[in-house]
Amino acid sequence: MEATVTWGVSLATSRDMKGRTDSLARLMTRYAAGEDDVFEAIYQGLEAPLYRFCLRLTARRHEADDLFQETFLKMHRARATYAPGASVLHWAFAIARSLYLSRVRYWRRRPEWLGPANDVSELEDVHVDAASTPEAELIADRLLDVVVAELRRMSEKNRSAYVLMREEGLSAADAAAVLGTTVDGVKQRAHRADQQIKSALSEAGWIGEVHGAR
Amino acid sequence: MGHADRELPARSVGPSEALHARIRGRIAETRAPTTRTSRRVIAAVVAVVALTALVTSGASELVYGRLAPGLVVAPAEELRLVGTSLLLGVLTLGATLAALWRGHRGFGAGVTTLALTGLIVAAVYSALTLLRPLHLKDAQVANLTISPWGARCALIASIVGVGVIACFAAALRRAAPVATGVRGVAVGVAAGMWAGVAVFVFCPSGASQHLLVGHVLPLVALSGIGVVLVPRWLRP
Repeated sequence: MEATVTWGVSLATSRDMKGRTDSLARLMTRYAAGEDDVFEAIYQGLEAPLYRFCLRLTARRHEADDLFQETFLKMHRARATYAPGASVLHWAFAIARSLYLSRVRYWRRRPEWLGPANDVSELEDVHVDAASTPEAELIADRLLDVVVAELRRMSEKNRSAYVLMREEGLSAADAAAVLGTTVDGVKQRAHRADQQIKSALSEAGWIGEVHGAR
Repeated sequence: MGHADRELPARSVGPSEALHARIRGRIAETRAPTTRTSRRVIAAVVAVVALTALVTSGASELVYGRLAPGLVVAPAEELRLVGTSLLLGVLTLGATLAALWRGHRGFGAGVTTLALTGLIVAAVYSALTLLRPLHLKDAQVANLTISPWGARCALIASIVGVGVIACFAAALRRAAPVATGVRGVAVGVAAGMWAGVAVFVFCPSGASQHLLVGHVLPLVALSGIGVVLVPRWLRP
């Protein structure tokens, strides 16, 4: 019975997501043709997942803000290149990552730049929606600190693959297209990221507790 | 629900209203073209065909006083000329499609397709040109001795190749957010193939060093130009 309910819910969620993706694609097609007034609807449809992705890439809110803003501007300038019917969100992810990589290349040429913070202090004000008790919230926050710190430490390629596949729920084929690599390549990167996070959790003494909680 | 099932912190955050307003303002003051990429690609292909035909026929008339001296072969070689021309056409078409194809996701051809197409096209074209030339080593047209180092062919290949790169880069301007390096190589190889077609039609030489310098090296050089200069044009 439980399995039936879960299946029904996930099917409905999947249909809902497909509907939203199609609706965004139709809006973007109109925007690409020059209908500026649909921009707000596109923004509403993209803001949450795109901002999350920018935050994951940069780890600092003000850099994520810049990247998010630039991504929308680039999407606007490149709107005529949008392929009708393609996923707008995946297109936005690809543009955001391309911009981020350009910035990293720019920063590498300038030694005075200190690089992104390797700590999670700027994310500490962000809390989890689903925490039910203060104790559970505290435990979750500590666990998440370890995961987020490890995400910052890993290579950009592994992190992007992990975020797209594990957090944003993209298929390996979609993630590979967004990252401009092969399906096997993106699977390997996500797997490496999984292993790195697992070993960080293990070192921090979390693995036993996480398994126990399940 | 176990702790491991919890969302990561970034899931609950979003952009501020001030940021939204700033983006709205910047977009309102930024003009964006609305000419579809598909139209630009069609226009680019038409321009490339016209450029290749114009440069080849113009150079042939200017240098040899006749059209397409490269397509004149001994009667025994006519069948091979047809086969070589067809294969050259297929290679050029394949390289052009790989470079310009948008794909159903809108990101263009995949990296594996691009890399394989580039390698196969370059290898087959080089073998086709160098291993068994259609013409004689000491060919002469209109009493003109053909340059042993293929300077004229290299010049014609450069004009056509650079023109093709410019047309394709303009057509794909801001249209490729991923794998721009390998896409740049694909554009370079496609340009090299159009240059190859031009010198194939223009040149009646069969000397190895001439073919290497004037017919094959331009393809390599154009691929290099593609990887160095094209990616920044393709990124949104």
